[in-house]
Amino acid sequence: MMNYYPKPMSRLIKELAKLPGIGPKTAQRLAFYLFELPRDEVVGLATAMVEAKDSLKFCAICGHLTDESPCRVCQDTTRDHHLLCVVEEPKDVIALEKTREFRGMYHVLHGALSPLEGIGPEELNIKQLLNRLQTEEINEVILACDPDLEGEATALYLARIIKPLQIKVTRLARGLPIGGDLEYIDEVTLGKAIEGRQEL
Amino acid sequence: MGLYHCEGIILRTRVFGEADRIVTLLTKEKGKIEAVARGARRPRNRLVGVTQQFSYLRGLIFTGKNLDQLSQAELIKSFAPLRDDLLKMAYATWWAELLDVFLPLAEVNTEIFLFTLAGLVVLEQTPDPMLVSRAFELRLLRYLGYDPVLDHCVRCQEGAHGSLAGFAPVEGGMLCRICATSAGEKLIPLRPSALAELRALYAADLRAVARRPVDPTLGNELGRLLFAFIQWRAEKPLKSLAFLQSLLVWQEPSGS
Repeated sequence: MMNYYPKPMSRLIKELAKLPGIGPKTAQRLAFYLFELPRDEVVGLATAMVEAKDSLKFCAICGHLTDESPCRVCQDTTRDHHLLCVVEEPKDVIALEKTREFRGMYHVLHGALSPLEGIGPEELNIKQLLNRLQTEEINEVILACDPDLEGEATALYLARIIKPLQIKVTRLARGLPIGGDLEYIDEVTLGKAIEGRQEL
Repeated sequence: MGLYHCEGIILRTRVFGEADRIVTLLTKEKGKIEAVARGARRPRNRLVGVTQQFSYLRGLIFTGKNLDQLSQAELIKSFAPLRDDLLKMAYATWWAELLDVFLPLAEVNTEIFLFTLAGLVVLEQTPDPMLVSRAFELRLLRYLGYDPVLDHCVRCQEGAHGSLAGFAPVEGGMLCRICATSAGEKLIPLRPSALAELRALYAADLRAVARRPVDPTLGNELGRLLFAFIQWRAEKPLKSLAFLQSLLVWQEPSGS
């Protein structure tokens, strides 16, 4: 297929097709779209990609994605430094920040325990978490792991090693999604929702 | 394109594409199968809760050209307590890996399916799963046709119990003192009481094993033998074993 295109175009399609969720057809459509864009917009996109790649790193304290270390959250003195929320990925920090409900600090594990994939505690940012718990004055750790098997394993494992430090350990509530239809909610989620019901 | 109903236990799940999940199911009707659950990673998808590991479900499956598709699923038993206890989760994951590694795709084995189902029910209820797991491992090996030879020397068939020197994983059974010397195999020592326990576990009902008090020394001794034998049989490292052992505060039996 690639032989039908001029060399630079086939290279562009090949590179775009490496992106997640992009198949050869979509790559071809994107390549033609980029070709039709004004040059400065294409340069802007390319520069943004290179700049992001060159300047982004992980915060030395919390492990969140940042362009300066410590990150803005870790530097923010107005936040509650006694409350620590543990998440699996930097994307989870963004999701929680969007809620504007949480004003504590974060710790990013960069993954979750997965015995079947051979991902153990050593592969995660757990050692740094324990260092923080021993050196900082943390009163409560909120475990905000995904509600799947890997997330559950990670939360249970962390609870097991944090509790002996006499620090309160909590986890995010599990239950019904806003706008959901009770009839279509699966039994496990509904069971957890009943378990975590709240008085009005 | 065909359509079939089946009952199955989810042995493992894998991320697939943007929002899909591939589930490996141990089914009663078709043996071990793989099917894609479209959209099962989206929060409001009807398959999201049902396609969690260890779920026992009734499903409707489309046969595809490359991969079957789980079209509908209804939960029969979630086995949620296995996900709420780290040690039980580690044991269940270890069992799931054993089944996934040893069972070929699409080979019907109703006995193994029913045994696994019964095993998970017992695992869910038992306070300390160590001996139950040893019994499960042994019985699974028997169903697979890999049961280790425990009654006599695997080489010379000599049956005198006192003459057995230890277990040789590579040979698949016990070796007598004479064969052990000539074979030069690395043997796993086994106390006579542990050997008797191992033989008894073959025939024991899992529910009865679960009710018995657990002797950690004995459990570890049997574990050492079975893990070595299973690893050798699997011909590749079993990843969930390391995690399980890290939780057990693994103690090597004395005399090893």
